[in-house]
Amino acid sequence: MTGQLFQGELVKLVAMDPTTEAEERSPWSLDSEYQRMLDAEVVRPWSPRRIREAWEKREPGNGEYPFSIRTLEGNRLIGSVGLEAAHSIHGDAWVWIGIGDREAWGKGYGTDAMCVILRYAFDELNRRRVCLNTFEYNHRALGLYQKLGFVEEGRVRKFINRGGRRWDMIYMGLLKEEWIRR
Amino acid sequence: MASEGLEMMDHHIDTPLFVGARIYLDAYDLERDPVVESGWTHDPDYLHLLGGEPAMPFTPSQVRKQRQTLDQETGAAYLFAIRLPADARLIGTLELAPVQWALGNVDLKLAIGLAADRGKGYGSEALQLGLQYAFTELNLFRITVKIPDYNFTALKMLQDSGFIVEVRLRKAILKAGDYWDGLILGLLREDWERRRKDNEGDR
Repeated sequence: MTGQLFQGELVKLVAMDPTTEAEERSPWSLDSEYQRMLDAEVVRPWSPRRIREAWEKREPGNGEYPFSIRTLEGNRLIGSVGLEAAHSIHGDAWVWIGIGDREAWGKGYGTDAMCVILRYAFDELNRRRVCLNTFEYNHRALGLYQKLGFVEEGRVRKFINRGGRRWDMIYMGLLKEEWIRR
Repeated sequence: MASEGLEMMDHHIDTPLFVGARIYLDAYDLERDPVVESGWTHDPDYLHLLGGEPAMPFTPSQVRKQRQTLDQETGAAYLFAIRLPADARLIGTLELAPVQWALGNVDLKLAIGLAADRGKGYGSEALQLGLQYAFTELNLFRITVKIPDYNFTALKMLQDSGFIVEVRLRKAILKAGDYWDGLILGLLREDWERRRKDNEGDR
């Protein structure tokens, strides 16, 4: 048994605390490219106050496991990662990740955080399947998920209208047996 | 010119949106319809055909609360009762929700309550009205439907209407010891309009 369930080689996952993190998170929302990678919501700037209010409305538990990602070196907040719908009777869960701090892109932090959350999903929550979706323009994310062994399961055609054209939303899945094999 | 353009499309301002040959779409009655729906939830097949959620009988007031919550998202949810004209009996529900306006997408959910009312083409008729409503009234770009792959009837009906299986979530559903795939199907407005035009040409 490992005592380092929340720790990877470069990052650690800690409790997400918007009351103390809102000031640090707010500038990320001004980065529209980042927001467009993250989800399909209409992009808008989020004030620290709005971030806090949105978080207060969310009910923890119910299969939701959100974490903040901090670097092991310097304890810097760089992003978030989480699981959703992880209490499904079918044993599956949805994973999402966002590295809001641009300085932290391309340095392996996302890969490391994904490895930690997948281990948490399979070994702690006993999930047998983890899935996700992303947009076809998010090359960085697609590369990461393929590297981790996620298999493309299909494309919701022309799902999102951004930057003057429509793009597919790509679904990917990773079964526990596939994860163990790696 | 303008009128010529309208002639080419086979839907018009006076095309009925709610009336099919044998069923019609009506406002959902929050007082009476949940009583009927509550009865349907006592048939496990009813909920299993819709998706992977565990079958669970709901009381009329629980159904009412679920429907109210859906209704409260004003402008984002369109819920219809499917009824038979003879006696206005509720035979199913058609749900277009949530509408994602910025994406031009909506999820469509269609259910026929009693096993005795299935296999008669009622669902197919309601589906055609739902597509017409989503594309010509809500002006959406695409429609998404999620079903478990063991619901062969729904799969065939959707494919017959032009839907394409876009995503196959492998082994996402565990039901009575067997694994099943979750399916996501999509229909684009451009494909729906082309089919309509082709059908018109065949006549």
